[in-house]
Amino acid sequence: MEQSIIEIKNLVKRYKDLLALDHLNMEVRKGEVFGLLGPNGSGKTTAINCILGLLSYDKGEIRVFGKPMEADSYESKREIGVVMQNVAVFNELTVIENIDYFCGLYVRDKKERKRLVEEAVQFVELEEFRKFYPPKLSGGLLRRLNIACGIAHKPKLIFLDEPTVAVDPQSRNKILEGILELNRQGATVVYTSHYMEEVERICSRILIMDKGRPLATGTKEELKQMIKMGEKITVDVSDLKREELQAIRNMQHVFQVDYTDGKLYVQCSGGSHNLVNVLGYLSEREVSFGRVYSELPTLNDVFLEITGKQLRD
Amino acid sequence: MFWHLYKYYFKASIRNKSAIFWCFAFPLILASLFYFGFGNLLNDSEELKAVPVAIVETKAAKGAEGFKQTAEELSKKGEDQLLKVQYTSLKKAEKLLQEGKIDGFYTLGDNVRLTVKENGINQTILKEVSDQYIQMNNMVRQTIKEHPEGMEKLVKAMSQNMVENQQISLGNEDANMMVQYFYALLAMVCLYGGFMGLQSALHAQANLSDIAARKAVSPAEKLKSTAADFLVGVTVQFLAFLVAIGYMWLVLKIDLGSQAGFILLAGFFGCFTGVSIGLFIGSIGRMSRDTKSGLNIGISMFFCFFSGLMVGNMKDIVEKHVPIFNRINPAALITDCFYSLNIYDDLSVYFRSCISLIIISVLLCLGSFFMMRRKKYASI
Repeated sequence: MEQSIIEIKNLVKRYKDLLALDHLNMEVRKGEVFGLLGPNGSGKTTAINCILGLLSYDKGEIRVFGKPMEADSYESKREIGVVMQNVAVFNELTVIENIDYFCGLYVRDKKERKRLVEEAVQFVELEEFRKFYPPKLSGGLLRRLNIACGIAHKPKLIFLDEPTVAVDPQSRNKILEGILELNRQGATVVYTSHYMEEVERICSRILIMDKGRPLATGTKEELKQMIKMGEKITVDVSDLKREELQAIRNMQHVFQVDYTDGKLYVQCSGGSHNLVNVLGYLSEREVSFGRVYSELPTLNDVFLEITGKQLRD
Repeated sequence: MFWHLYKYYFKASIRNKSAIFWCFAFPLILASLFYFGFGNLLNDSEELKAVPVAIVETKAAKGAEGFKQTAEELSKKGEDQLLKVQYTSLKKAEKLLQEGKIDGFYTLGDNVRLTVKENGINQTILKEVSDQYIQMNNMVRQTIKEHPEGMEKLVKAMSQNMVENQQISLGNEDANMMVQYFYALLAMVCLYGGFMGLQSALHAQANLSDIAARKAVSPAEKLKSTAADFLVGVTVQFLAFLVAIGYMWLVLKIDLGSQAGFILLAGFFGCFTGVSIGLFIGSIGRMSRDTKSGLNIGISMFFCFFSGLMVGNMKDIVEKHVPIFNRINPAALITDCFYSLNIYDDLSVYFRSCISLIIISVLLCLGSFFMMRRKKYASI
């Protein structure tokens, strides 16, 4: 069995009348990129702050590296790196000074620190901006600096709380590639986001949360298998009769059919020839059709089916 | 780790333009405004002039013959001339006083009575002269009655005492009334350390700043990290104090006294107290950063107002009505340190004020650490 780095049992956290975490159970295993996926306000950041010993909680148990996590768990904290949702750097220190300052909270040896800081600068590709002050950096570069400050000391466990918010696509790609590289170098990563594409791209296991409750956990394949939908077909059709719609609804594996604004939506639960069957039928009935799309289910579909709402609602 | 944190926080602090303006530049601007505002007053009072006074003799003035002799003695021309006396009728004396040609007049009857129109240093001198005369007169009468054999000795001692009083009545350094405004300004510089203390507190509480949250998840101990930030605050503020006092001394040529070492030591304790006040305010409850900042400025200016930054004799008024406030008002304690160095020969008031500042700082620091010691937060 793989070693657990984080274990959370029945974690309950209230903000007055609001139940922020409702009996959260979670396990993060060594070497994985664990994704916490949920809409804004679902409790992802609260969960992370509880794990890090910043927030008090009402009930439950948290163990990190096999030990209870407290505010003064300095030994455990030495092995943890955190990239907060908000950029937390000194505006009056240069890029290199900021990284050295925060690295110095973990590493005392000057030589060792110098090497680590240099590696971090290269890792986030900020070599050209060493002497820049944060207010002079773009949003994407600032996020990269924020990451460098959190990971320069080469932690074994890294928390990244929505590190790509308000970041341009190029920087986002670099950040995601960087996270995978950290994981390849041996770090266990806990990644929170409400961007399902990111989570789907980099996370080996995912916990879907909403309103403080864990809804489902597993690999992306496992999560997709949990839902009924296996394939979603969209066809541009100018005119479709009621009996033709009914005939498609009666096809094998088809469980839902909608026709709105000249588009036919067909959701299938499985099978391998659904698209061929639908298009064959339309040809047979001499129904003219335009563009055709076939999509496999996404995590958004998983979230939609579990909660009845879009992930970004 | 302490010096690592100190080094970078010092760098960040001295590059903070807003803090630099308020701590370094603003006091210089204010000092310049004071200087040009007081202009002639500062120069005029460099050399003490004899106090114009009238003496009005009534029918019963025979009993105060000795006072006339004393007044004549004090009116002799020369460096030590203290009074400029003219003898007039009561009516004329009142007119001269009304016109501001004299600062007061003595009415000689059975005893000596002083009439003045307003309060000020000249009026204080006149009162001091008449009070001493009355006191000595009483002593002489008592001695004649009880120990007539010691009369000669007493007269000798009294005449010597009178001369000494004349020489030291305004202190060893010819203290200038207007200089008190600059003392109050220096006290304000010290209390502006509250900005730095407030920043230290914000950087120590994860529920108040992102940087504090980042520090809180690291293995850095809160006490060590806050102590480093606090020491940076004291260092930067003391530098601001040095710049301010250097500007007053070297550029404005204001005579703040000759005991530079003690002045700087008092400034250091003042800065320490200023930073402690900010740290304490920053540690209270869950008020927003802006609220705490406003509170810090408000409290600093409140203390400075009652130390005489806006109204020169405010500290004297407080001393008369609520003296205990002057013992706990940090700004008043700082100005007391400077004032006592300039006025008194012994350092007891100076050391008493310094010790009070240290006690206040220690209590505020302990209170701050007590409030910040909470390990986990209910919300962030």
